Amino acid sequence: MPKSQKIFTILENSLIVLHGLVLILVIGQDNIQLPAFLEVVGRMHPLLLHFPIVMLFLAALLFWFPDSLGVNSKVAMKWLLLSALFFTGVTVLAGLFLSVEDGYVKEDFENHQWTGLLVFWLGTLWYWFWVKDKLSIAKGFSVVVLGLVLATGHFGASLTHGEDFLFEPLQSEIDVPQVSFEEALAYDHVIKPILQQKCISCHKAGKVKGELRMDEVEYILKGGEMGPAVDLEDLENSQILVHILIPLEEEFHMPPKGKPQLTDTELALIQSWILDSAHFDKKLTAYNPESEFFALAKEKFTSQDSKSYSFEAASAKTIAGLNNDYRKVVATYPDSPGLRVTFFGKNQFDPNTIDDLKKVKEQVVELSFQNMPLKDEDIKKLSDYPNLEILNLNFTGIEGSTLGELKNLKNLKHLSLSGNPLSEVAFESLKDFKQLENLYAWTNKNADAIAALKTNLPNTKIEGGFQDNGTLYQLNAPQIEFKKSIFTDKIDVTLKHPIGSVKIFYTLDNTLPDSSNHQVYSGPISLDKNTTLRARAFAEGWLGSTEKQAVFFRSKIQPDSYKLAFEPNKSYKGSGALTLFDLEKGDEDFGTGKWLGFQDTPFEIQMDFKSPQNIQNVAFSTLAAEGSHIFPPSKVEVWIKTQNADWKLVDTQKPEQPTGNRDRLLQMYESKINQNGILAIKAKLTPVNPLPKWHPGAGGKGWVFVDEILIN
Amino acid sequence: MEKEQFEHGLNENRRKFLSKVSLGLGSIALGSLLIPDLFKGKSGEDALMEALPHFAPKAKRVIYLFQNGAPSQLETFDYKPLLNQQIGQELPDSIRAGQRLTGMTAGQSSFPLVGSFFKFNQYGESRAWISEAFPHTAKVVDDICIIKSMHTEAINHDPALTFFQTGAQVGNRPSMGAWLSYGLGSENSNLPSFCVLLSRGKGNGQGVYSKLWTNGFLDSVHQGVQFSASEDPVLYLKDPKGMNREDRRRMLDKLAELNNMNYETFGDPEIQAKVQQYEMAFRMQTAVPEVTDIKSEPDSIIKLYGPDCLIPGTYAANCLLARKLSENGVRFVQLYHQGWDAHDNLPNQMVGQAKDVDQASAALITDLKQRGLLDETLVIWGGEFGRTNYCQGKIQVDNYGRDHHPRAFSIWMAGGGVKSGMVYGETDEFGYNIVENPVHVHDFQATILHLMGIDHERLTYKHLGRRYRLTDVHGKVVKDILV
Repeated sequence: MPKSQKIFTILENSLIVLHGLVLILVIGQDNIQLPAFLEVVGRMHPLLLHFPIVMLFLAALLFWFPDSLGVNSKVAMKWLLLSALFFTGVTVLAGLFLSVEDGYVKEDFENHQWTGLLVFWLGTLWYWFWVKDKLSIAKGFSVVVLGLVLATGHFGASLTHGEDFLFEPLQSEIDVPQVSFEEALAYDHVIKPILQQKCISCHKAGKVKGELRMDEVEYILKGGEMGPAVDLEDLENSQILVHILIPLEEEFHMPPKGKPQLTDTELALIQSWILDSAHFDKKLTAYNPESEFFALAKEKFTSQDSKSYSFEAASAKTIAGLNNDYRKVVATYPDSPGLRVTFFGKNQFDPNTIDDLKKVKEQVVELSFQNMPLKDEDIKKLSDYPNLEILNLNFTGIEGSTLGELKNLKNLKHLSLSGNPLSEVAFESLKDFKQLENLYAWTNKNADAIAALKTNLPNTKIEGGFQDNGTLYQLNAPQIEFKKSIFTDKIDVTLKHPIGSVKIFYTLDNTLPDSSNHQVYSGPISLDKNTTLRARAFAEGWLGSTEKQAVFFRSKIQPDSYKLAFEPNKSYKGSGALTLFDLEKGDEDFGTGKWLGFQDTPFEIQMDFKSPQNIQNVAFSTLAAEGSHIFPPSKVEVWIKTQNADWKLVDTQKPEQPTGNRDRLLQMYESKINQNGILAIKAKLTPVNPLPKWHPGAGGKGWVFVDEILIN
Repeated sequence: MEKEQFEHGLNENRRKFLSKVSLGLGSIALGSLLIPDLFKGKSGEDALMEALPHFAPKAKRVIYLFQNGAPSQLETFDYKPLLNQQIGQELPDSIRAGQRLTGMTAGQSSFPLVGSFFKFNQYGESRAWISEAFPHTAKVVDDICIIKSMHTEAINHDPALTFFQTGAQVGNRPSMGAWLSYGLGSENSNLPSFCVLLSRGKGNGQGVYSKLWTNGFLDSVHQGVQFSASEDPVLYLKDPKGMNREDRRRMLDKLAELNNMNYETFGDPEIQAKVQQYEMAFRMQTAVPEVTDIKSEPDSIIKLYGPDCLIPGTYAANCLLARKLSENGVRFVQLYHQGWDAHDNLPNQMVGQAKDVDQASAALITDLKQRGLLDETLVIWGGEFGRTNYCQGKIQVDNYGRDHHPRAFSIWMAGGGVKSGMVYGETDEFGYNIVENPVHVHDFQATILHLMGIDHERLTYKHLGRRYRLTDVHGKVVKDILV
């Protein structure tokens, strides 16, 4: 193995060279000027250091248990230890280069430096004694070297990650203010925790980057190489502010790129605190409540959403076992040991299942029995839940005779008892519930008892809820139900109202029903002629309703054939002329297909009868909706034809035209005829043209809409 | 889903292999009985979802009273006396600043300002301005937080609605209720976690479509369930005549057996979803009649909501039903009330619409409060955008119209961790642009999720190769309005 021998020689020689270089650097440390490329080598220190650590440990392993590898351990050992020492030397050298850069203060860094150097020196001695076969001495060195490796690593980590990095998770968190909002100081409890988390690890005794320390107020005011961190004379020029506001890409941005950044809220807090005169020992409550800093700081105090509980969480298995389709048991928030229990489905509810919850009686903090049928007896069971905070007993039907059993639940904050027929005993026992923040006791009957309770529980917000204080509200109109508003012989009409106890008044003579003229509805109304039915509802404790109207038409005679002179507009053609005789009344919505619309041509129809008819009148049911350009026809004309006679004009009407916008309106134009022996009727309804000046569409063409023709 | 199928394929091979080397089918069956999840890995999504909620929620449930068609902010909550003084005068170009117009007013040669026909007064300790058309809302003003600085990106109903509900103007993304159902699940496993109720006023209406309560790419169990006003609030829930509950139970058990066989073969998670849905429907058969029964409501509640609440399908009835669903643990109840699209005849239409919704909306707040539920229930009232400060069509003091306006509009929120008695944000004196604290739709959505204990940036779902969230890549929680 001459080849490996040769390498050993090279390594041993390099080791000597490295020792020399290290010595020179250690002695002349303070006076050295390094060329830039060596700074780069220096910065490789954090990379290089991992090699010797691992190799030294492996070498020790082989050294103590030479048979473990089963190879020629002597050669392997030599390989390992020599190259380990070589890398140690290189790492130490790089470390010394790095130490020349500023930012590290001697006292803290020295621990790391000297332990590192000792690793190198004593490690070399270990090798030397081993080579000389002085095994017991070598063993001693090996132990010391390993110990030193650990120490060096720890000191190094403290330098880069901060002093308490290793044990930080074991310490109580520093960023949560442990004081109440009233007690809190602006700096100590709001600003300092942020600095501690994001700034102080690089600006403190031992690692004064930029010559700035931020661990004490005096250093913050004194500042670093760029000026005071907080400048009380010139707040906007405070270096903290300058550095945190500069964009992340800039060299001077703080915290440096790659380190945890300030959150938006933290940044806003620091900014508003500094600009608000940077008070170091002012109480939060002394700030102007309108100020931005106050608002942000207050939020920080109030937005801590996770309350801490002192009890342990129940096991996931227990919780899962308690859940079913009708009972939900869930944590109140992520990782909370507290549980919220809700029951659902009153038909499935069994009060005995409450006892299942005993397994988690410590953990239950919210409990809802809303709408579940409970007995007053069952309430007693709830006194076993010491940590209960919210209890919902709305509409459970309890009278509250056993509520007193719960008064020792000292954590109970919200109690809901709405909708229960609470007895006087209940209100009496509620007087002892001083711990309550909110009490919901809406019952609509116990206004006095609630008022009395308010004096006994001055610190509780008592919600009495909506009281029916006798304000009269208007009833809604009754509903009129029927099959079709156009009938041939007779029709039955039913009136309804959702509130059973109301009386429905109605008239059939087109007058508004009131106390003087009405009939009281008692059963279906039978109609056999054209009728306007008007109805209103009345009831004790309510104002009379608005009216509901329905108009009924009798259409006794149907023509045997009919023909439109002009087709209706294609957007409103319904089922053609058939629409006019289908006994289907259209409503105010003219797009439903029950209406025929005409704009460019008049509505003109001829209706023929096979046998001569005695006709009293003919009526045209139309719509007026001026907002949609639908007007009453400008002219209504009706002609008749009898046996052996020509067409004869029997009626001409010029309907009154509106002078402004109105609500949509169903209108009927009736022509009296009163003649025997009629074989045909012709009618023409002419649309308005042009539209009047007041109308937005003035000058354009109006529409005529017809849905039904009634002949009697 | 592909991943699960893939994994299932691997398991299947392993099982086949094991059985071939005759380790015995019985022992494997026993093993999988003891550890049902033995072969089931946890996907990244599952792990992510397990962390939900991300932090302690302020609100447990949401009731969203959507005013469909866009109520005018200028006749409700945004008091602008200048518009009354300058009625008929032209909207300055410097204010409009190039804002695009809808097709309905693009042809209009002039944009005359028009003030509110309704008088405004200040109410409550918050001294918030509310129009006389909303007397009941005025009574609960100290329980609500009015946001006057909402703004959106869309200018027409459908995209604006879709944007509000799903976070994107095009369809097929999951609705907010579906996201919450996906994120938080149901409180009550006997009712859907997302319910939808529709009503319609007399004003000019705009459509609502089921895509607004879609589950999008999420599992179909998260779809909104529409409750109808008919005799059967949930369609097809009743057993057919002649079938009793025991028969149904046996039928479901057999069906589940068959479905599970298929699941063993194909491993499609939708099969499991289907089985779960059958089971839920079975429980809903008793839960729904229990919840929708309004006969048990005391008279004072009828007075509180107004007598319309007894007529199924009205807004008042839906508000009452919303409360009942919500108190029974339905995570998200979505109401839509149509009829706010007053392009003309606005004062008249506003009277009717306000009458429909004012009393019942305020009643919902009062009712939740008296039960101690307002603290944990978030109630939202608002439309998809606002209306212009200038008149559409012919202008009269008592008869005018307003077009769509996305740049500024008002909504209110109440309960569930929102500050009460607050007015947030401000518009300029023309009521056209926001001058203070703008709240974008995505901010609004982020805030709702935040109140429910969800970080909107972390509630995601991977679909078509990217992760989606309700707020897309936007949204900032409006911290100022949080308690």
